[in-house]
Amino acid sequence: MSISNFDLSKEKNGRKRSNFFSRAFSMNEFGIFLALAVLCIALGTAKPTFFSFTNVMNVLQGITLVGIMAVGEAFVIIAGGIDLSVGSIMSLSGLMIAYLVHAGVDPTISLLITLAVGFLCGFFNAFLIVKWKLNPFITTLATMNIYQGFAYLLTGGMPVQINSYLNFIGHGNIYGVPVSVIIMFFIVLAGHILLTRTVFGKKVFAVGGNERAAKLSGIRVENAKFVVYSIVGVLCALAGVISTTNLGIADPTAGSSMNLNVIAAVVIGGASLAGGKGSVIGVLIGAAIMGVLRNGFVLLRFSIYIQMISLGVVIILAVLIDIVRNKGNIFVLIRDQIRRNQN
Amino acid sequence: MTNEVLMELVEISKRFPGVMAVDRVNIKICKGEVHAILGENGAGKSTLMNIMFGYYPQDGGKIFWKGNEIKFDNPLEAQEVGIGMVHQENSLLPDLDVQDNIFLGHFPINGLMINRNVEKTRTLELLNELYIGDLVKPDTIVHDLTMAQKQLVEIAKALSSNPQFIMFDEPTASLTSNETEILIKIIRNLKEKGVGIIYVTHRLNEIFGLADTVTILRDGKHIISGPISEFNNEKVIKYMVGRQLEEQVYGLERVREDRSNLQTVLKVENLTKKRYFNNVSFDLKRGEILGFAGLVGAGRSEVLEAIFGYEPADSGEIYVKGDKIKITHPMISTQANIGLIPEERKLKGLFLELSVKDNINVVVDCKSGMFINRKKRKENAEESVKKLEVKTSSIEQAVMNLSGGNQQKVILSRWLLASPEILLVDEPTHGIDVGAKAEIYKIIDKLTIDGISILLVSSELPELILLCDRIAIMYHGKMVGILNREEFSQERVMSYATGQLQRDC
Repeated sequence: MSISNFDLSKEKNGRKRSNFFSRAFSMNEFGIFLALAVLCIALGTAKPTFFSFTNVMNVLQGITLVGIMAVGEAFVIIAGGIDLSVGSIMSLSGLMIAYLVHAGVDPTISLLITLAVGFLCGFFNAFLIVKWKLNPFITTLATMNIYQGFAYLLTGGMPVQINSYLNFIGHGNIYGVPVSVIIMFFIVLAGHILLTRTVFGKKVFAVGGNERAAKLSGIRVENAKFVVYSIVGVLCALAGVISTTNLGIADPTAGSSMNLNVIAAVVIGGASLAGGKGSVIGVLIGAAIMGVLRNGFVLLRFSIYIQMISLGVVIILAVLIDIVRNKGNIFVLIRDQIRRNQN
Repeated sequence: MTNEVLMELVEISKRFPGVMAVDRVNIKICKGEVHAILGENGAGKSTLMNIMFGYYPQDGGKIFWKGNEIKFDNPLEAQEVGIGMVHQENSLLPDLDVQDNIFLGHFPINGLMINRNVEKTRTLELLNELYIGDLVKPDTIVHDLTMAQKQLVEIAKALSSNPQFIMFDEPTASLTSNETEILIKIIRNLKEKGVGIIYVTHRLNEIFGLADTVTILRDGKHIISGPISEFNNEKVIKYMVGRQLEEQVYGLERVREDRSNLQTVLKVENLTKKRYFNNVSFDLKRGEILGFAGLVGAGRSEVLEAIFGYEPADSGEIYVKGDKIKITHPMISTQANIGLIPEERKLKGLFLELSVKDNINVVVDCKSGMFINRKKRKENAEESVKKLEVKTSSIEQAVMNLSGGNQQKVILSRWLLASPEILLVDEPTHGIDVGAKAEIYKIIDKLTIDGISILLVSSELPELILLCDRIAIMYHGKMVGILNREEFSQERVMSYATGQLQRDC
């Protein structure tokens, strides 16, 4: 027992001495942050315009949709689930708001109804997953088609124009900073606080880490799942609103390419698809890496196809970086695996 | 036992980063010999067996099989020469049936196809050999089996390739006395046939009368080997822990008193859950430890989980300090200051990838408001780690990197922080080494001095007899008797647990 106390005190002193850099290095997001920084510096060197204010805003605006939805997706994935229907909810919501405004509904009320539709889509996913105990992957694969189908049905597949004060959301800017970018940063901040500083956030980690243990700790696992799927639904609706008001036109296919990009951003951001691991900051960095790649390839006039290949490579690299960064821990893991075997 | 040497290890060493797991160990196992390897957790027993089984290559030393030096690259090669191993942690595939699990890797084949008939008859033979033929069928899906049955199927799997040398890694950890007797019978049969056996266990009383030779390891080092006749319980423990255990185990401080006049904190009436248990009634006094004895599958864990609301009962009443409470979810029981320390630590207790700090705080988190208090959480974790002497490099360490005993302490801390009045404790020392066991006993003992009441399910009778004030015994889902402390004896508890005795309670 004296040994354990000794170890503890040593650890405490060690932690006191740790400075900002070692703390930063020990952060989970360090690996991908480094990757993003290297990527930016490389691009900035090759094309100095990369760092111009306009271009930086371009990059940021380019990642708002994926970024906002990925914050919600991060909650779902950390809670041990997955939502493949995000892009479809975005398409549906984007059409919904244009349709309502076009039909003469007050824009603010239209906005609220649209967010409610997003909420209901997410809630329905959760209902199938929690109450009927369907597999989340299959469930949202199905609702991905259902929601997308509704989006086409709503307008017969035709784009709808929108022109109201709501266009400020997607198109406006404050001191040159797009409103949508400000919204994204607000969502990221709120998501980060919700995940790391609230009891709910701890419950999300617990549910994804070990559902049975979570229940045995007094957590209402079902409620937590309803909340995370509903959050992602509302955020997708918000993304839909931003997309539509940005273009001034609602395109029923707007979100169809987003479903997997959102999951990619979460995974690049260091989340584990097994649940129990991930962060909102990581998601932002993940989305940023994807955005910077896209932007850089345009600046360098590379083919869009090479861009797709490189995105795939980045996803693999992100997972590898995570493993390498944990290398010290891997040995610990092996050792403790052995110790466990010896039990 | 003959003198023909099957397996010989010479100066075997294995290093893992930061630890010498096995340090120059010499062991010799003859045909028909039962060789017990003893040691605390982390002593190197499993590593040693895994080296013999071809799972890890050794860093130093030589392995001889029937006099020839050998080197296995993987367990398959070891199996091919006739080495079998019964793993401690379940290595069965839960969604396959029993026969496929047993013959996985060496299916009897008929051309290209699996010969189902041979597979089935061989499985039946094996199950009958293990005396579980009438309970477990070849086509039973493994996840429908109890833990004990799974363990026996694991043994059947090891026997299916007719090994000449077989290693048992804590085979009795999830078995009750009855099943343990079966296992011991099986081992005697194997010994008769000239099979060499390595037997690793934490239950010392099993080895006397079974083992021929004893080897004791401590911290990876070979402490002593010799014929069993040269050892007794105290001597073995002394070599294992390098210190006297008795002081620790019997350092229990609580006063044994008649508690019938004390406040009843928990009263359970006619609790019933179909197919699991019927009309279970008992009461629990303040500061009392009420033990639950019975065979595996008697319904003890299910009663605890029903009281806690994890798998609520179908009917019956639960009163906490006189108030009737309907517990439909663990959230309700946690708010009534009840805690549950579950049997399957990793499956139901731990968030393996989360930190010690998060694991310790999870219950109090749920009881606090909307925002977490990071300073408080850190203090909670640091105090708990200090109080229960959890050995961890830091409170930020992922809990999967802790040893079994320390993981159990983390779960205990979690509930202690929530200041419970009633703790439901299910097999708290399952798979935990002797030293850590004693610490857990001390903690439990200390808790009741502080006024916490405990329901303790355990398959280790000495543990129940040491700790409990009363022992309730279940048999086939029914409560068949409650013994007071002065009536305690292993024999009496077993007669109730096996259905030979019964009394109103």
